[in-house]
Amino acid sequence: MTPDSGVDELHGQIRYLRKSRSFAEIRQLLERLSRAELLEDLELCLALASALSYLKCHSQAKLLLLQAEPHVTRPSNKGFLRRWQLLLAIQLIEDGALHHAEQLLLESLAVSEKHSDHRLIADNNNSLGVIQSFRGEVMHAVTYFRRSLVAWQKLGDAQGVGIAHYNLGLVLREWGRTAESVPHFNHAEDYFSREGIDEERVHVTAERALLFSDLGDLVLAERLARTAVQEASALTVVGIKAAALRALGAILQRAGKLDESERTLREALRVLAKEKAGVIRAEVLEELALVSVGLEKHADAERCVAEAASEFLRIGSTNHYDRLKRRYASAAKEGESRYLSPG
Amino acid sequence: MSPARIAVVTLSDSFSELWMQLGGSSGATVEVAENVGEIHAIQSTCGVIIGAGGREGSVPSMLEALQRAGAPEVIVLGTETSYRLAIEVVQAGACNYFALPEDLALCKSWLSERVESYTAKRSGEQFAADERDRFDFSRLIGQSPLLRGALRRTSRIIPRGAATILITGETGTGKELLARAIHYNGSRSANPFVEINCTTLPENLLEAELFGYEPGAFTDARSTKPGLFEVANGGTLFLDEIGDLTPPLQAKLLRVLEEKRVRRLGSIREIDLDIRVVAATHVNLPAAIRAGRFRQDLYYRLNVVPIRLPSLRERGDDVIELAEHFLDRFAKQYRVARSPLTLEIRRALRSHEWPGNIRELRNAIERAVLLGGGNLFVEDLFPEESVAVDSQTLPFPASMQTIERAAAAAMVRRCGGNKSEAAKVLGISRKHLYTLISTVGAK
Repeated sequence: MTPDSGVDELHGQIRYLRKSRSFAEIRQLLERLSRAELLEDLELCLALASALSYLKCHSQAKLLLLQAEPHVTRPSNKGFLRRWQLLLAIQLIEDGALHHAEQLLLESLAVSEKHSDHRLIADNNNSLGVIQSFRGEVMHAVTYFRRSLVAWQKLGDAQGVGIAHYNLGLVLREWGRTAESVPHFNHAEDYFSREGIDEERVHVTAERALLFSDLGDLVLAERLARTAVQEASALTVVGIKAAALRALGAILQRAGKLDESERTLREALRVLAKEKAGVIRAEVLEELALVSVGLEKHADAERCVAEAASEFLRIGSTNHYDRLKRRYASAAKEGESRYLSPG
Repeated sequence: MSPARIAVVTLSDSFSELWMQLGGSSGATVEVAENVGEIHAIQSTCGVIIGAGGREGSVPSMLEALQRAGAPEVIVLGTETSYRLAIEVVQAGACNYFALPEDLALCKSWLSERVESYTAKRSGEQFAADERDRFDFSRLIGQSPLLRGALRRTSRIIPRGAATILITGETGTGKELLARAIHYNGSRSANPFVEINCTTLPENLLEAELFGYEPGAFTDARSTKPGLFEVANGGTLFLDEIGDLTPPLQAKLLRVLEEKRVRRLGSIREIDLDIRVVAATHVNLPAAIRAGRFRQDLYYRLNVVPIRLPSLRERGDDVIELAEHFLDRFAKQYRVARSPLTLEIRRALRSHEWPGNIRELRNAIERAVLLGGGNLFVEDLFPEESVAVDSQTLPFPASMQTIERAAAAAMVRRCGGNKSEAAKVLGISRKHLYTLISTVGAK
């Protein structure tokens, strides 16, 4: 009897790459296997789906997961079912199929809690929190993110703890509970700094800049946002740069520096040019719409609003869509544009 | 963190090629021995495999020896595919029996689960150790007698693992930090620290969150959800802003504290609890009791160990020590040269009221470091006071000195903080400008 040492080695390699978050390498390794080989080894199959998801290749991830469905539902493979449900739910969230995603997550969560699978408890609760925040159900989002936080604590995963604190800070800030959001952002910054996770730390800096802007300290907010942009420029992740530029653009707009705000936000759009449209792009367009109103570029404003609204509705985020409507109406001081009417 | 370790006790050579393969596939290091005595620190392994391979008769005595040595989960690998043998082995104390080669995948699956469980446990322990270091009492900054007294009292009660603690103090005095220090310096540090602000959620959602619920308990209750009391079991539940809890929830909380049991909404089953409750509030609870807003019996139950954190105003020169700490931190974070605290800054720090306490001080220092590029200026620390001096509400008549100071501060703001430019516009030297603005905000 001789075990398949090649497959064992591959498993070991994937495990190592996953720990170091080397998702592009995981993808490269596993895409050499045939689809049949992947579907026979669900561990490798889900590892590839997970890597594709992290790399924002959601349609490919979703296709792979749907192909794996007959395999994960076999009784002998029930250990994989919960992970499969979580990964598929994440792809469905990207598609805006929030209800379907929620059903999968609740099912996966119930079983994970029974088995005390803290990693899946943490991830499931986090994704459920994202769904609730998209729907504007911020209080429910808070409860899910808090559960995610506790599960990450039990796992001793400092990055997960940081992410949970960041998400809590985000929803509380958007809800207007700025004082309560401050300690969460501070904790998130501490954990990300400790773990050396610069991408997440810069995200926190950008959000804290917006927080200080909400508190009326535009001078500090602008300086913090510029710091975030500077730090993001040293990183390779495109979304972080765009998020930092968006924060700066928004703050400059509030400070009345409209020309510079417009330039900054257009730079954010250029940075995102090769990326698939998503929340961050829609949020940049939202800010650009408001700036365009201030600059009396009404046609530009309406274009930005239409594009942002379309993206928010596509991903099912009624919360963002409602916020866009409110802010635009307030800025334009007139009724809803024809692009915002329901239906 | 040391890698997961699997111990293998071989009774035959049948599987000699297998052990390293298993190690490679699971990520664990594999230690192979011929008898129990050769295995190093058997209790810290994540599992033990007995490689029987034709010598299944020797398994029971080996299992006995392993149990005496305190081995964790033990499985047996053999070549016989016999249910009777499998049952005998399990009855003798093994967790499972796998016949190779048929059950190789199951064996690998067991191994992966053991390694994952071990890794998660060790990660949890490492995390708790890191948090203990982060929230160590020696890191709580300040030498003032009031603070040191509070910390001494706290360190005395930490060994009393389940005593309820009530932390009082103004907003921003460090109540949450102290609650974490209590948890991570105590015997519960390896278990969860769960916090909830009692003002964040409305009453019905807070109740569901704290107590949990069963399906159908209320309209939106579609699945079972354990409450935070259960989630915190073994650890600490931190209830922030307890003074704002509604009367119905106060009654429910009192029952939980008295009975040390909780029942989910919609359930009749009671769940035993082993948690420490730490509550915090800025509200004057005795006054709230007199006003009928807080229950006296709950207050007595919470106030078993009261700790009062002094305000920053009461802590004297702690404000300087704290400012130095934050200055170090933010100078490093934003990569600017750290300049010393001048006499003017120290005077300003000491004389400010600090209604927001340490949180306000932290924000002020961060602001000043970011805006000053490492040099601290009073108007960067206290922008509101600078605005107040140069607003249109200047008293009339005002001294020339007051008018000059106001004009200088206003020009610096108009120039976006650029003092060189402000000095140029005003037609004065930078040194003169600094003299004018450094006295702004000082009392």
